[in-house]
Amino acid sequence: MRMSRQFVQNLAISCALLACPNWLFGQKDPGVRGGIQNTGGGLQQQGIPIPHPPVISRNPTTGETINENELKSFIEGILRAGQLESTCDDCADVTDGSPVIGMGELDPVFPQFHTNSNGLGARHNSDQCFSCHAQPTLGGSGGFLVPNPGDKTPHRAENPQFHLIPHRYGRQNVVPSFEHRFGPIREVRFRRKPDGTADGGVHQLWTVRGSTNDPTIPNCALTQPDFEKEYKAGNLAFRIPLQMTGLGLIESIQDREILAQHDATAAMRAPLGIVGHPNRSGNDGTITRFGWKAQNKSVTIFAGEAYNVEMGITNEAFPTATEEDPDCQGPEKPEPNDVVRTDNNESRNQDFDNPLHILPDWQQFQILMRFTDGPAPVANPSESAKHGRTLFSDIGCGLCHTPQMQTAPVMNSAVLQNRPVNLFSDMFVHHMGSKLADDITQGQAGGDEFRTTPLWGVGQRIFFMHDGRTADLLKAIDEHFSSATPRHPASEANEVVHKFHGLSPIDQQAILDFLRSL
Amino acid sequence: MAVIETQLSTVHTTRYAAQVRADLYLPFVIAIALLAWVQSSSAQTMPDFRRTLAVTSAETVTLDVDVAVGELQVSYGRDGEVSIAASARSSAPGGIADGFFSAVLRIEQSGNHIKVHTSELAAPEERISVLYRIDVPYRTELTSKVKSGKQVITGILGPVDAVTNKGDIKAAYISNALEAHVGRGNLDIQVIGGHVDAITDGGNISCARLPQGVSAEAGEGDITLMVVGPTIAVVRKGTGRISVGGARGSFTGSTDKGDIYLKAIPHEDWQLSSASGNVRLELPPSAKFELEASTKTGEFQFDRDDITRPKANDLQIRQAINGGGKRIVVHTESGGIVIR
Repeated sequence: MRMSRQFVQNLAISCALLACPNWLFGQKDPGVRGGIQNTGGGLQQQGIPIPHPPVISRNPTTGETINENELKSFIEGILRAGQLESTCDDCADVTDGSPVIGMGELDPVFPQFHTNSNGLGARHNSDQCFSCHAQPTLGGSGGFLVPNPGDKTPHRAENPQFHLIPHRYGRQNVVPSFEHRFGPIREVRFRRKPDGTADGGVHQLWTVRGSTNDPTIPNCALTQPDFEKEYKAGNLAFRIPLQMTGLGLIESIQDREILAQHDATAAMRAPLGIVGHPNRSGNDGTITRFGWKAQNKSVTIFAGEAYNVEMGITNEAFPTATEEDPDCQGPEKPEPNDVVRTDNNESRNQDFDNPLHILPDWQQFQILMRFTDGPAPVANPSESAKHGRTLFSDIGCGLCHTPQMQTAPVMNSAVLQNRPVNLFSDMFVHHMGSKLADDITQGQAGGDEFRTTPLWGVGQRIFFMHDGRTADLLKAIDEHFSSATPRHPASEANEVVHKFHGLSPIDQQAILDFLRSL
Repeated sequence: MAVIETQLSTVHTTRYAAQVRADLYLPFVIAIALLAWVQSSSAQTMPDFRRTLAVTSAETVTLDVDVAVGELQVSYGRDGEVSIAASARSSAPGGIADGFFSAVLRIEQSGNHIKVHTSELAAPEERISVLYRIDVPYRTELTSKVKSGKQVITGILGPVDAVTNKGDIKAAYISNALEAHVGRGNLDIQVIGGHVDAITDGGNISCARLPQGVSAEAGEGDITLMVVGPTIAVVRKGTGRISVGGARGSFTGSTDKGDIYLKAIPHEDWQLSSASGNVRLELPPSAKFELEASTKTGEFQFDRDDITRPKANDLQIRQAINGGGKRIVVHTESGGIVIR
């Protein structure tokens, strides 16, 4: 018995010693920079509003700043993107132009709890832009929100898709099992249609059925797709919200710059098996660059599409609804819902002879995105992060995650032209192998191809990869590795991931520290 | 020989070409040199002054600015910092002295309370133009005074209290209340979430999208209002006019000799009066209201079928239009009253 106890003690000590190097030197994702408590939902929990998106900074090359009109349009964009959508003109809590609360229909305090706009689609993923773009600031990527910040004992910030959005105003949605309370905000695409042919489109999570604030659709009986069945059948592909910050700068990079940067690394990429190609517009052949597969050409297209796909709000760019069930679209919801209003009467123009309210929301969104600054890295990175920056290039991460590009030399907006963009992306799509593949083709991006995600701002993102499969940066790096399968080639990142794992734990940690400094 | 001739010819040609180039270039060189000299003597730009102050997100930033001479811009920039930039240009022969901003500008910070003052003694002369640009977090309260120069305030929470003795004030996208007072200059105000008090002694007032309303008082300038909540608009004297489109709340307006023009739906009661100016109202055909119009010596003109024309010599009219609704009271001493 005594021997046995001694043996157990020795075994425990031995195990502890064996674990010691990992404990001492094991690399670890430092986590969201500043801590989750200092970003979007964390601030809300402390009673502090989520910060507004940053205005584009002074042009470091020319010294130009955003001009007065651009700034006003940018701020108008914030106000419009903060609006909570109602389903009809007459059932919004705050009628257009009404001086009821704050700025009336344009309330700068987010999140808003009074519907102050109209057009929410019969099917939708959200009812506010910022509910899915609030990490670490409004306009950021997906994060957590406090569902009831006005309460004396507010909830902890959580995934707004878990309760807030699906059940707002009594809407009778069943929350699918893949939306977790503290998990990523996920939208869903189906890989295949019931007949087995390719689908690839977004299937909105929620319907307006049961809305207590809309008397015009009492017979709406829309049901959600059977997400659980499709989930079990492996037919779902998830996407998480991308940050909207710095998109104007990315849009301002010429195709020739993207191609030149790519060509400059050809000799270094070749032995690593990194190829990639741009996704291109089917019409004009130019490089498309927004979205997880670089499927969208411009922030304007992005804004119009997102308004229709994510919120079901039709507009000039996407004028027809994804769900046209007449029982769920009342008479007070003329199509397209959000258009340039020029009619000279109140019912069509939201105000009698109001020449000011002429830009529709979706166009204000594109202005907001265009003039939101790129994420700023830490001003004084640690020695480890500085070391990690060098290693990041040495092992080849920077061959796809191109650290910097330059915007066009002459642009309509002086603040955007001729300035560096520290995006950490080549804007190309690359084969990532079967592990990440979602088997969805968008433009020239195939089933396992994804755009090199810009890494600026990665230091304050919570979830990683297109489907938000991990919140751990180290695991995210590993997810870049995938062997060849009969269906998909090997990931183009494999050799670089090998090199990463060939580094000492201290060097690996340095790269993680560098990434969290971005 | 032929070779030598060719060489000589080449040398000659080269010399000639050089001479031609010199002849052509010389005026350009002189012109550029002159231009550079003129520019350097007429306007010397100081290197920018820049300072960034860290502030916390937990509290509102309180910013006090007192500028003697120069343009002041206060704008939303980003959370967590206050960025102060200044630049100066001079048309004086001596240019701008080294250390100009260190002598002129004083910045104090105590937590989230920041004061920016320009020294009275070291205030720039007339021939120096100075621009102060302060980028602030959205949650900023502002008190600003400029003795001579323009103010542009954009995109902050507020409240804002802005005073300029001589120069315009432009304020837009302020979420809380705004008080703006200009001595000699104009006021241009757009999209304010709180109530607005706008006073100018000798300029015009232009306001748009003020859902919580405005009290606008012009000494003798024009007042133009678009889409406003409860409003009081007064032009004290002279020919200053009041023009309103989209009045959302109650409206009270008065002028001396200037006209009043109002185009809106009567959501609340209106009261309009002018001494010798005309009052012209434009309402949708379906608008419901109670009209009370009177004049001492002026004339009525009704371009609507639903208003009964007054008898000759009648100086007042009282009528319910489309079944009646909010009260519209109009009075002039000698000006006409036109309703369309």
